[in-house]
Amino acid sequence: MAVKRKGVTRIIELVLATSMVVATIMFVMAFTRPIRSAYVRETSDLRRLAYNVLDNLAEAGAFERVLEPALKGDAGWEGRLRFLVSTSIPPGVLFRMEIYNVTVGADGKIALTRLDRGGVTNADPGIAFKEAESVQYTYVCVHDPDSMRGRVFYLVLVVGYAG
Amino acid sequence: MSWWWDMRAKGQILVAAVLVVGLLVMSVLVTAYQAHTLFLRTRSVVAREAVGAITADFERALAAMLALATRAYFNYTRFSNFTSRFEEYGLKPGDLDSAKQVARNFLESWEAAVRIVYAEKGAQVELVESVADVSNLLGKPAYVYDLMLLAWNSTTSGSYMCAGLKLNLTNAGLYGWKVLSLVGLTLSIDEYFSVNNTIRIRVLADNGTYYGNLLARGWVEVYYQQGERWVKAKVKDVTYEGFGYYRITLDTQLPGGTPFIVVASDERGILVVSRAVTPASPSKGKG
Repeated sequence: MAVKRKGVTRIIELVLATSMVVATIMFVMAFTRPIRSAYVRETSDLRRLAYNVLDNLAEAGAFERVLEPALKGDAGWEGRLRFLVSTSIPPGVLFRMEIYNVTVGADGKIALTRLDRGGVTNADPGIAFKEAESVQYTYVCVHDPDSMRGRVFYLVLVVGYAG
Repeated sequence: MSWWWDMRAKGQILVAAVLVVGLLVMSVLVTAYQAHTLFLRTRSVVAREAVGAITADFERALAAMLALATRAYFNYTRFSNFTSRFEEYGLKPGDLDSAKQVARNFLESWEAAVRIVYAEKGAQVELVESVADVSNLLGKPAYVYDLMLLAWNSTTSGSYMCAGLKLNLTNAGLYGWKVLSLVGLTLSIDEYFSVNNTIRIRVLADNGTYYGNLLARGWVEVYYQQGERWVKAKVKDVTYEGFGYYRITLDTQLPGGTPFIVVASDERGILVVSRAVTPASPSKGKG
């Protein structure tokens, strides 16, 4: 009887010991991440790219220079902004940008007036975006010229790959 | 012996079982922790960039309003391209209180615009007026309250604006973000050298960061008193010496004991005016 019980105990011990070893290995595996050997294309990279482009243009005071002619009705400003954004974006990435002038009405309500005519893009009209990210950005003008200081713009930048 | 063996086996099983249960519990806890961090990570990426963009724009809004106040206070007509656009909001020449009121209205509008623009992220924005200690910048007890402080016409002068921003992005899982922003410009007249007619100044931005863009993106002017009038001195050269120090060489010889002011503007349009007196003796002296 005692020998039989001893055998059962051994089996249970073996099962428990194996479980402990397996659990420990799984535990260690959970904490060890594999080296990222392959680049995985994520849309979050596109979002970061879009914010970086907008931040850089804002820091350089580019919006004031480009959008001043836009408020005066100059037709060439969309091309200039398209060029500026194109030079900041890697080849193969498509973008489309919308620019709104933010004003406060007499009743205190916020009005968004679109300034562009869809020309701030490097994508052909027929091409659809794939894996696209859209970022919103408000911009209070602080740089020269004085006529632009204190104006508020709302910018939407969509970046993605061709579908 | 059999009884003893039986008890020992039971003890071993008990110890092993406790260990296994402990491991299982820890595994569950680790899994829950990892799920939580993954949840935060995936959400914080979206929130982080939006929060960065909103905070940066908040500081730009403060800077624009401080620029408006300082320009309207210093010379309203000279900067009328900027100041006249805010006349309809109640801005008056040389009146700091009206500039503060315009700034409050502007910030409220900005707040409303942010709510609209970031509506899909569930943006909840609140602006809070706060107090900031700028004693270390001015070298004397000074606090920014009631939105702005224009401590001008001293050897060390400053223009400051301070406000807080509270932000929730409910759809991105971000609650309770707070930031207290102080924007400003500090200008010190360090020394006046009558021998070679140069003035050494120091310019600091915001919380005391060395400002090195005065030549490239800002400007500096010098005026001296001649009778009742302030006459603009001709600046021959401005050199950046590092750590916020600039050396201004004047073409105009300033007489001894003459009050003079230095006006500096950064690229954001914030002005500051410092005042000193040339030493009575013609040799090198402190301003």
